[in-house]
Amino acid sequence: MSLRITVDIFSGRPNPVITVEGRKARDLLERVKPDRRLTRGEMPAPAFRLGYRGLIIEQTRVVSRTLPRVFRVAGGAIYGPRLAHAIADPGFEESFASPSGPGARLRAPRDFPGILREEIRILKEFRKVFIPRKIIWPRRPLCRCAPLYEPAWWNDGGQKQLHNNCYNYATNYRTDTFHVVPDGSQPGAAAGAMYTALTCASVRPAAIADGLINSPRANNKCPKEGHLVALVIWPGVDFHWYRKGRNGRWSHKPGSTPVTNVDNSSNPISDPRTADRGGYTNFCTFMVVMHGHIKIQ
Amino acid sequence: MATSKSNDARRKCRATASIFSGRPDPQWSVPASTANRLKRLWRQLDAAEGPAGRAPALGYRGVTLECGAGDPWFAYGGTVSRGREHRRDPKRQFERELLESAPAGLIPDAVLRQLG
Repeated sequence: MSLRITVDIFSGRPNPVITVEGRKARDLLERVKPDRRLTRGEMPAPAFRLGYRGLIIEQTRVVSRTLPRVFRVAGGAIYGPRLAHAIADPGFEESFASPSGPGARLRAPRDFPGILREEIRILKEFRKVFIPRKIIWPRRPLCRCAPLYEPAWWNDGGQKQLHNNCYNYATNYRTDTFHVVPDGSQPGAAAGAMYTALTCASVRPAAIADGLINSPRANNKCPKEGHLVALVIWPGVDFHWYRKGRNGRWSHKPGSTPVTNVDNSSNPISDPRTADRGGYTNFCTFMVVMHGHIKIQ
Repeated sequence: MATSKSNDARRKCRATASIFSGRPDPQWSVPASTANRLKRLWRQLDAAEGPAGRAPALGYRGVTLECGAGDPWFAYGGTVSRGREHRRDPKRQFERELLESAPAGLIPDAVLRQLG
């Protein structure tokens, strides 16, 4: 018996592959054999993810009668034709990637085993919190003039992500000044009219001074020109902005953290007025950003 | 001759609470006595399997302690992490003590109340 095992993890580079034969191969098949069937709503085969997506196991010579010729083991489950089950040994992948497991023989970069163990842990965590969602994509852009949702551009973990805040992101205006004390990336600062209190009545005119157009009656509809943003207030503590993207969905960038398109309950944001906003309980207003007409310091 | 331990003790420590979106997050200097107490506490904590669960996008998202060039400590939701090491702090003692070292008024009351 011979098994060809591919660690399905990379996107640009070829995945590492290893062959396991004889008794070790038979033992391995015993450990991954199907146990209970996964219930509806449990994580499907995670081939859609970036990072570790499981072990693709191919039976290259004698094929076991109880398992298909090719199947995937991922996050403690087995996936294949008519297969979506938990596996007999839920710790199989960890032991595969352990220093004494078959994964230690993989021809891969020196730090790969540690990375693989961490990735296996991440996938298992993802499986625990996985919630199935039906995503319906708009057939054509809903807001033709709005910026694209392109989180990777902002989420560089460095200059762009750390030095731009919600106001930069919402207005699609990168200044890299968020940590410039005292008024970097603050509404009104560029116009010499910075807000004086963390209230709607103070932050709204500050943004208007920067060139944003107050549109309290926008009612979540895209403007003909420019794009829609929304201002919310954590009374006396902070302000926050969202922006409506080309696909009609809202996204935001909380402070120095990465851009995201979900709210505090991990739900997509179809309307910031009804999104879970944590402490930012005061929905202030919609505004329009005309591209090229605003200035932020 | 100075030891690495005494060098460590002399390093100035700073804390940053990740809370805000529009305003810069609050930062403050942590007194050496507090920093040393937190380092002792870190050594006493049991290992955790992984980092803390994901914080919500908006609002309080954890607190960081930085002392010199070494890896910073990050505390949130009952776990303290440093580099790839994670430790359990179910009573959030590390997190609470670090936040309480901030000058009065710097951390919103709502955040301190959240910690119980």
